[in-house]
Amino acid sequence: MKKYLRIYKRLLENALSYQAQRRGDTWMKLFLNILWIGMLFLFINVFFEHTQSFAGWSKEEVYLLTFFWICIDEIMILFFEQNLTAIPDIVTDGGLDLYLTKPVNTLFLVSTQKVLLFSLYRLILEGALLLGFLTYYPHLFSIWQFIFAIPLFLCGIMTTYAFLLLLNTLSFWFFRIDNVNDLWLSIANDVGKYPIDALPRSLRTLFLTLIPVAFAAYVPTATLLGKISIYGILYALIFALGILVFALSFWRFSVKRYSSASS
Amino acid sequence: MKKYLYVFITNIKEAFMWRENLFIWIVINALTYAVYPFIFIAIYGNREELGGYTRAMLVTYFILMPLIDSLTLSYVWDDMGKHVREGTIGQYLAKPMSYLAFMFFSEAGSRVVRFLLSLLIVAIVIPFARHFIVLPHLSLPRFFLFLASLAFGVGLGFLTASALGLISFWTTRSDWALHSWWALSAFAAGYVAPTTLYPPTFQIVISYLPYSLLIETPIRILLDTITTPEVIHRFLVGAIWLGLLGGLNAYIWRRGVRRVDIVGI
Repeated sequence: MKKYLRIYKRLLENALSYQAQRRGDTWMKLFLNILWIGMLFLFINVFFEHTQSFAGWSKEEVYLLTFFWICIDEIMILFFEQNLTAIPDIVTDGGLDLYLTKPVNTLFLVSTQKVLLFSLYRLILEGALLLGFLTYYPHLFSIWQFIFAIPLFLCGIMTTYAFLLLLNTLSFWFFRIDNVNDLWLSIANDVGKYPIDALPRSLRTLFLTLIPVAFAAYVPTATLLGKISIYGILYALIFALGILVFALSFWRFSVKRYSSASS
Repeated sequence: MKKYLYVFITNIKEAFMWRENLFIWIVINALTYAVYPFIFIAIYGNREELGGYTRAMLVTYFILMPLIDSLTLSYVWDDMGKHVREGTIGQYLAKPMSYLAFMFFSEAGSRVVRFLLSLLIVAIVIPFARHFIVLPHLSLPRFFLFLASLAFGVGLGFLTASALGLISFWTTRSDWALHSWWALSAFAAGYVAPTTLYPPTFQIVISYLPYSLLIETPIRILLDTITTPEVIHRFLVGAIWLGLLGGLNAYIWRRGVRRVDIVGI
């Protein structure tokens, strides 16, 4: 364990050094992030210009869901997204050799090699906005409900990680699937930040099973707001564990299939 | 012209070669456009009409979107950026053809494939959704207006994407420009919602931007929810933007090519 902590510390130092060279870029990304968040909330506002309630969710509740979706997406970008989405490239061009020959767990290295620190600044900004929002709407949930929902947020991150890993592990089997990550990014962007209660049963089932975008923000927020039954919560916990075990097994199985492409 | 036709045909063949990619693209499109109608139907409540759209028109709007989107949306910035960053642009400079025209025809091949696949998805969806959609009935003049709006959309989509790609001559980190473009176009082109749902001030601003010709204007012509004078206004705005973007592309290209250092043989 100590060895892995030492490696991660070194990776963080690398990330810091990388970030220090790109300060202008970070400011630009921060500015764009504000623009993007503004657009998202403007869109919700436009929505609620025409209705009082959206599939049983009030405007404040949809705002909250969007905030959580933004934060969870940011956590994924900060720690994992860029690493996992690079898997098809390193498998195709033989770069995986470099990871396989190191005396550490390959998946650990592949999943954590880059920490995108600009995302941390954005996360701090988003956290501050969320806190400001909660100060404005203090009665949306209690502190106990929040504590109860924390495991669900962790499960949301776990499920997202596992699903991204599963998608990218497919690159061991199919030669060119460059756009496999668009499947996640596009659908998570379109579906993840809305209450899925508005969708028909077939699509809801799909987003709670085969393409599990609803676990990232919808399930934890619905839990926080008391909109989901105890069975739903149990299902989310079991699903997160199940998909993670499956993704890890599939990774191990697929790595055995890998044959080096480099010299 | 013949050489560009070869580029076009080669790219159609190449797009069919990567079948897994195509399959994933179909799934993404089908799911994305299946979700939006339901999200919007949820806000109708007891109303019959919203922002000039009946429920059936709104469902049709999102069913038509992948068809228009497959023709007007350009991803050429990605390849152009790569060519500049990796120095492979050198091989195009040495060829007796225009790089921008090459990229346009090269992408046109994959656009045709994307369009055909979208058409396939729509053809599968229509029998199930026939009670919830309106089939467009176009007079001949409206049909020509529709074709003209598509031509504007294709041109504006390509020229914007190529200008974004060519920024790579100056900076390897041009994704900020791309992301701002995405953010604005998602909102202003009508990807996330018909812009008639927005407050009036926004609608006025949007009518002077090039984005609506990418998605919304062609669909509104098909659904007959836009008057001819409005269409002409958008065409005029589009023509000005085409001129500006064309000039910008030519300027960036001239300045950029002078800066490029190509390593290799």
